[in-house]
Amino acid sequence: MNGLNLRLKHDPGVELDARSISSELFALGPDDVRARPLKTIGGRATIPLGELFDIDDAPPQHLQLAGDLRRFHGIGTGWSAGALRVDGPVGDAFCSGMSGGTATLAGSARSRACQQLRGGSVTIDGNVGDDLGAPYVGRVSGMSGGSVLVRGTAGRYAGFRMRRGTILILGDCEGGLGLEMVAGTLIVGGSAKGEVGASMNRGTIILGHPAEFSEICFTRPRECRLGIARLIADQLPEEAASIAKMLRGPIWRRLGDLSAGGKGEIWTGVNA
Amino acid sequence: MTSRPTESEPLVVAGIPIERTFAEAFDMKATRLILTAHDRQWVSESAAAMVGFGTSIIACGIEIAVERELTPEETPDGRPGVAILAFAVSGKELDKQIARRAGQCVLTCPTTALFAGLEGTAKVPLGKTLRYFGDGYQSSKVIGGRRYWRIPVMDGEFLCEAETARVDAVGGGNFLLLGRSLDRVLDACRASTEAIRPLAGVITPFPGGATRSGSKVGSKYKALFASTNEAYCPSLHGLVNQPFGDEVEAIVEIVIDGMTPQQVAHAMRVGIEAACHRVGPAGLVGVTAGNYGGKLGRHHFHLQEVLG
Repeated sequence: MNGLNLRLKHDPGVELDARSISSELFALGPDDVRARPLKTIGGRATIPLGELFDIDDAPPQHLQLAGDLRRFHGIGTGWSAGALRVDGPVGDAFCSGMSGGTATLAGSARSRACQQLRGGSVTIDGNVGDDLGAPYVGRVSGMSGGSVLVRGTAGRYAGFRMRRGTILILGDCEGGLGLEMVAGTLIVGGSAKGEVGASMNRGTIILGHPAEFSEICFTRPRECRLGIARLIADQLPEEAASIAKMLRGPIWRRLGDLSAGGKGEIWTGVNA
Repeated sequence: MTSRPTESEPLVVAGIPIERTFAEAFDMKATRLILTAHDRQWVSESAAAMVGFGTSIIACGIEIAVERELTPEETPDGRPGVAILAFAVSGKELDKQIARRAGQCVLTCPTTALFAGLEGTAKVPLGKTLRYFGDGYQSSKVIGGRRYWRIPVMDGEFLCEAETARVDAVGGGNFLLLGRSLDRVLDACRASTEAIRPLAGVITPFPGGATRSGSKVGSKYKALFASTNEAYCPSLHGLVNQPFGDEVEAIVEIVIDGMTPQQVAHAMRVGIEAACHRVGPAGLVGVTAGNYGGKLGRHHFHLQEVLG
């Protein structure tokens, strides 16, 4: 059984640690997949995968899940190769620590999606909660590679301490965007609430709409044309056409956060 | 129009005899760079500096020239540019020369950017080395799996891809045009290089694509490992043994480096035919090629096969 199709039979009634729903399943036989235990969160019980899902074959290196998976946390953790597709909403920590392959979520994710992402490509059609691409609790830096596309909105602290890779959010963001960002590229097509890039050390935040900046922590905006902006524009998907257009023209660039080294930058399309 | 003679028949192009000999060429390491700038003037200025003093590995360390001009639609950053090909005897020498030239001729030139023009596993560092000029203010971005360095400079940012690829290639494809007069042979030479210039994957690194100083291996002077090839100096006619008569007044050699042997052979054919058709038998006594007896270079381009 090299590819798997998992359809949720019923709501589990409890919150589940679903980190074992990962690319490791590809290496297991049918019986082992069905016996794969999911731990309950806050309890000692485990539930075998086969009790919760109808399981059948899928194309090689494809794991497909369907159902309301909001009680399933950590789906796709450590995903390293192959294609993960989820039809329906998921819980926290979707694709945490992923290092390769692709993941597509036709639904929304709760908090800490793509935390500590290291590689691969994640597409989320719906919204995400707080701490997108953030570090594991207690870690210094967050996402260190790969790319994330969120077609909906993002909660607070998107890109918190991200160090490498690219996050593209087409919708709006709550406060704390790019908080303590270490490096990488964070692009937001919608509006961003609150101060953007607070305590960012390096990295680039690209905003499709005006936002708030600390006047004392960022330089005054300067108009410029950057070759790197053109290269970024050429890589954006069609649905980010307005940002791509902005990047191909002159942009306004601020440097900061001056209280944290000042080597980060925020680009906007207008002087605002 | 090239005749297809048997082994015993003379090889002739446009009435000009082609000697049954071969050009001896060598294995080299090569890379391609894409240089862009704000407008065509700055592209040309930077490219001219980058490829300057890059005619022969004998003393330049590298053979380098513009392969072709690129339109904005063909470059990574949507600006006018050129593709540059560079050849050296080893990967180490290529790395050294490219880093020096990129640092002194591209980084220094207003508005330029430098990109990889080849894909491959063996790498030649570009921005990976030059980034240190940024003195800590440099930053990098990985876009589409490729790393680019951004170095702050006085007109904005110097954008430079981290590295380009290096491939095995061929250097030293050649042919010699034996002219009845200096004017005629120069005319033939221009026809050759104009015909070769649009070809992909090849360069003619000498000034104007041609050299007059065809060399032999060794010298009477111990310090020199190459010296003038007196057998092809018409001014020494009667003094040394020469493979042509006194009707030859001047000779030029077209030297071709290419990414593949096939591209070198094709360029030789295109160049020889263009020269012969331009001036005809009234201009050229013959065409031959330079070799070292076949003992030094692995690639032998026999003129009868090249033109076959």
